[in-house]
Amino acid sequence: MMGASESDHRVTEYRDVSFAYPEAKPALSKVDLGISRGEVVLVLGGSSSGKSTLLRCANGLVPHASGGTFSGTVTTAGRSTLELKPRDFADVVGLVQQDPEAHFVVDEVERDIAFALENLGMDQSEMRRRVEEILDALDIAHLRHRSPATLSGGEKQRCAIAGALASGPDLLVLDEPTSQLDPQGADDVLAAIGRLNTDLGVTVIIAEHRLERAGSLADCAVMMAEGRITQCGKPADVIASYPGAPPVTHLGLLLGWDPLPLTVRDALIAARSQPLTLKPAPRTTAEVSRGDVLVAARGVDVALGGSKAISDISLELAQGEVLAVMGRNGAGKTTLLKALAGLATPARGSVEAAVRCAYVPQDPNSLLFSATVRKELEETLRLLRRPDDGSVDGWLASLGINDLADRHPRALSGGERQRVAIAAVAVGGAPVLLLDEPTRGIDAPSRDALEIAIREHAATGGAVAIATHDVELAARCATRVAILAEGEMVAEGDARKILAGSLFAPQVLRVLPPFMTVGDVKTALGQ
Amino acid sequence: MPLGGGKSQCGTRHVSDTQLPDGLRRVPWLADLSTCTSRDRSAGSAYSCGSAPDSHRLPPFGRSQPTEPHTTSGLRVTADAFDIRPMPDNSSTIDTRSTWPAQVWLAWAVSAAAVIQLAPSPVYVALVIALSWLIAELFGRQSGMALAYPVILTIGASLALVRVLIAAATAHGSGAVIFTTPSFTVPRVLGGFTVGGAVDSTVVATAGAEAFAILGIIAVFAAFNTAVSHYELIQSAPRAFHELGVVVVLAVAIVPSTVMAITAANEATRARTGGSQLRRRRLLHLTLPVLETGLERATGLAESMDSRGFARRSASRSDALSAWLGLGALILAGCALIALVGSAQLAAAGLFTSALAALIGAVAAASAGSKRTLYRPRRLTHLDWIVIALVVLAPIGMAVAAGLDLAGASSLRWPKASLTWPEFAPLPALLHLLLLAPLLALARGNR
Repeated sequence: MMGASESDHRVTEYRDVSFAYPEAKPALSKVDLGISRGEVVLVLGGSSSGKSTLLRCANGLVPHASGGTFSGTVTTAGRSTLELKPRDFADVVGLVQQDPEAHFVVDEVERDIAFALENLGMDQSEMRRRVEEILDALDIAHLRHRSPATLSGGEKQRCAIAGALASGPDLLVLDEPTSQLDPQGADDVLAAIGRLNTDLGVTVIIAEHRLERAGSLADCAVMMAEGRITQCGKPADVIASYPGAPPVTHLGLLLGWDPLPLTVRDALIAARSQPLTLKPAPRTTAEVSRGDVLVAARGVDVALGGSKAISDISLELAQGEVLAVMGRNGAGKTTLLKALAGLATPARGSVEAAVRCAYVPQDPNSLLFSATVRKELEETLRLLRRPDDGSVDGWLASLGINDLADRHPRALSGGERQRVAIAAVAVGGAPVLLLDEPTRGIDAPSRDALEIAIREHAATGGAVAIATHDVELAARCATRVAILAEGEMVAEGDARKILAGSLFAPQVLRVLPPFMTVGDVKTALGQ
Repeated sequence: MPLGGGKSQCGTRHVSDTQLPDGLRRVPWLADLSTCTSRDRSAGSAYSCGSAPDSHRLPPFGRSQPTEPHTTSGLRVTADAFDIRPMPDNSSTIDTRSTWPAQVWLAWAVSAAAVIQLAPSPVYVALVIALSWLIAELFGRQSGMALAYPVILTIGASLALVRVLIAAATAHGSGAVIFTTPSFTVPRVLGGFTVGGAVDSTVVATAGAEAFAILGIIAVFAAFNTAVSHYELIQSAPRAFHELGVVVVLAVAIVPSTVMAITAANEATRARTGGSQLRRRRLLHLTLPVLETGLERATGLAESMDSRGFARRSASRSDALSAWLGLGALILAGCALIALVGSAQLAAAGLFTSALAALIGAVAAASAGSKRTLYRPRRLTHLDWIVIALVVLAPIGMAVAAGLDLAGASSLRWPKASLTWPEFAPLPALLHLLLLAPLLALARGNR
């Protein structure tokens, strides 16, 4: 990837690039990177490691749109990003950001795809042909006359990729394109990216957390930490040392499998070739003591916009419990949590709460407005007229954000904002915490800190309900699981029993049943 | 474990094709996915590994979900989980295209607004509002902009109410007094008028009728905004205005997204306190997140537009010529105004004509310099022209009817002082019905 003889084949090349945002520590530090034509490069790293900054350098958004101090050179398709503006790279770089909402300019998919072509002054007949090709390449021809506002998350992101691809760029830059998506939408997008690379030879650089899928797409991976490239090589090797590696990779590391698996399929092959006999002594969630019922929904219907969002839901949440509410997008997870929090009024049935229930919305931005993270937490105490008995520092520490206490919440990464929002709600001391998609788009250390905080909150007499698509989170944290579909409860019960079902199985269970997590296997090994 | 029956580890019974209840559909490719959870899954069927639950996965490319229902009984619980499509079945029929070209809707909106100006009697304004509602219902597009319809109407109603309240508090007539409020006279330097006092029925009626007309025009705009494709509207404008038009349309699009952001912020604040409403600093809790979210979204959109080549071309000779012509138009218009003040009407007319010509030249020069091309510009058909002609006929007919007094002198305007019910005449009402010309699309089978 870095050989000098390959420079002619390189689509983009970073030479000694350093960059710092205004009044901030360096986001990139002496980065050298070359990406050859047809490659898929996976960029890994925790929150604020410099992934987005690295990607935004490819077409000059950094430094032209960001300001700050830039040194070194980035050359894409033979053009220097210092000499030209991002709009001058529209024909050679396609950029897709985390939030697909921020991408759409025109409220019709087909015309939005053509937006870049109109700007480039392309001939009408050529433009028409190009749009048709892109619609077919991404399998979105049936969405051509839809408004982006009516699309699902996965459809939006595929349409955004189509808009970025329309100009026939040499390089497609994807900044965590699946971070806002449910698993179905994410799979959809990653499958489309794989096809673009395989069938059309599009060069891709992608920052991504869903490594079980992205890892198998990539030709090479780059690990970033504190603005530096700390590792660069084959995806399996780089991912192996990354805390956010898929559970099967951690399992492979634990059991010494070679090659390390990235997918369940690889892991099954490894497990077959290297059989292992373990005494099944897995963690049993049923052992968790169940205290008093803190909140209960009894036959609850909630209607939104004239149609039932949830129907005839009965549920109890008791002390010491962590309930994972699962189901596809639109199944009614958020509505159920809002009903438990008293934010959605039942049309039928009742919600009985013995204690205060606090709800953390999916989008942390709607909650954050204070000047610093610490003030954000203190604001909750002030609103509730409660003194700070150390709970602010306690929640800052338990969610691993005490280093960020004096930062502006809006200056943080998405994962950090999510943790600040959870801390800002939890600090109020509500015994029941209702978390809506808390791990969406957050990195592995953030997720680990969150899981510990959730378990501690439940262990100290509280209860937590999590609406999530993350089956691994449910496997590690939940004592009970409820599965919703079309607003109805389709299954509810002990987490182990529900997750062991064929549809919601965590990775480790698929490979080494009855173990659910790497921790279970580790325990069985006596480590 | 295949889905052909049997019992899973969680005790939920799987159902076979023949066990699904009425109306529930089975997803055949899911049978492949289910094998992923089994230890003896064949290595050849590589689809679907990883942590995502299978019920969240899409079928492999090229395999679609069947639509035929199954007719036997079974566990609804399990079968429901198989129906994985996130969008309703009619999702592919959601079409954001406008039924008529932007020019037709523009003609409709201008004609409807002109009709209100020519016949501001509340009975006819009510008719236009009803027609606008019908148009919005029948031709409203499935787009984010359409969300603004109730917002715009609410703003219009609020403005109308404020108009009535201000008139009632500050204007005093000779009609019947409805009630009396405490009054005070503002200092002379601020106008010296009296606020409060006797609230006069004639004043309230007059203000009410005027406010109703304003609401009518806003209702027309709201329906136009819902029905028209804004991008087609930009395309139909001279090229010089395209980039400016995109910016304006994006600015208008902020209305619905801001409404949603306000709702989210309000809910988040209640969530923070465990459901109780804030009393102190509520505005701060609402405003700051909405503003900051809006700014972040605007920044993201600007970066996206920049990355996709918006405003890419550099200044050309045509732009320089356009700038000079624009400056010339401004100077000539200023001179025309001075001439008008000086009662040199002939010179004023000449100067104004020259300013107009310079302005047209500036737009033409700027358009010629634009290299931006248009994707699938919509051309007007014969039927489009017929609809335009019919809707334009409404205000023309109304003007003729008013000029020739065909509808009765007091029919089009309401004599407020008498406080009688407004008159209704058939001819103006029939002319109003021309505004329903877009319904020809129904006959054409467009909707």
